[in-house]
Amino acid sequence: MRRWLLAAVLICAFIALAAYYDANVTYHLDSPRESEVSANYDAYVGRNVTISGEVISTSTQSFELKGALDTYTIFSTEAVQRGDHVTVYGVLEPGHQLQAVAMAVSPGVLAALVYVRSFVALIFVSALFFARWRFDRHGWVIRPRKPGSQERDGV
Amino acid sequence: MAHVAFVFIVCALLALKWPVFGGRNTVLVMIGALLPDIFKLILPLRLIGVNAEDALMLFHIPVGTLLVCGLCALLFEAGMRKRVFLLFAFGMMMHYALDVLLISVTGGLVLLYPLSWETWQLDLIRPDNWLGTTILVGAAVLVWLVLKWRPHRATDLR
Repeated sequence: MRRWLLAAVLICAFIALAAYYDANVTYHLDSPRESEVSANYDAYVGRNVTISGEVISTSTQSFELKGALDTYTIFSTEAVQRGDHVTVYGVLEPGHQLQAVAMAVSPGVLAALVYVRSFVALIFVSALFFARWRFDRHGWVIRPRKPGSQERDGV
Repeated sequence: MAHVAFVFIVCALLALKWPVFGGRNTVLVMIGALLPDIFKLILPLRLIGVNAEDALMLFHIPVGTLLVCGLCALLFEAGMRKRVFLLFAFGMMMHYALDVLLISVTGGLVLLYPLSWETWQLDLIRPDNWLGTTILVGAAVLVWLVLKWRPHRATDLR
């Protein structure tokens, strides 16, 4: 009973903190993101903003970046290629244009690989975990597969 | 993957002096190191048109991850929950220790939320750096092989 009560308290604390973060993060950002910019574009013209997305076309002095909500023309001399994942920090200009100040460019394949690596790690650790621990459905608890082994328990 | 490899190496070294980090406990530290990445659920959600980045960000903030560590520890049998929680929390700290090294254009990690909204980042390593991950995984395999040939140690992961 005490266990379920504690679990409920932790879940409530998590929900409260997550809701507070969600409601207030906009006021504490170093620079507004695409979601804020799209909601009121004109208010952010001339200010530093951060836009992330995928490069869909390139030219000599600029490239087109497809964000989650809109497509932006980014003015920058940095070399990017179609398919690259780019996060741009720069000055917002009228007409969905951005003068880049700083950029993080990641080739599309490498950006995807980050998530593939995480997935592989998850499968690996899950297999390792269930080789050493088991879920007891009767008590709704996780127990060691070989209880009483002092050496394996590391105590 | 880098987090898991890093944690394995750290645990293998610590277990030489403190056996509590070895054996089946190593995998608990590994899980603790993966808990902040529950945040990556935003990706499948994005595919179905839901942008939950801000709502799920707490998973990738220490105070939120600590609450998740506590919840996960409650799944274990009484008597070992405190130790499981501490091992999860140690893994979580290893995760943030690596993440704070990464380059970020958007600011960095909100490590002290809800006390402070200040962001922290050392801007040393690119997030998509495959070489660093490969070196860490290679080193972890090397450590595992060394431990494999030292059968009386408590740090086995065979």
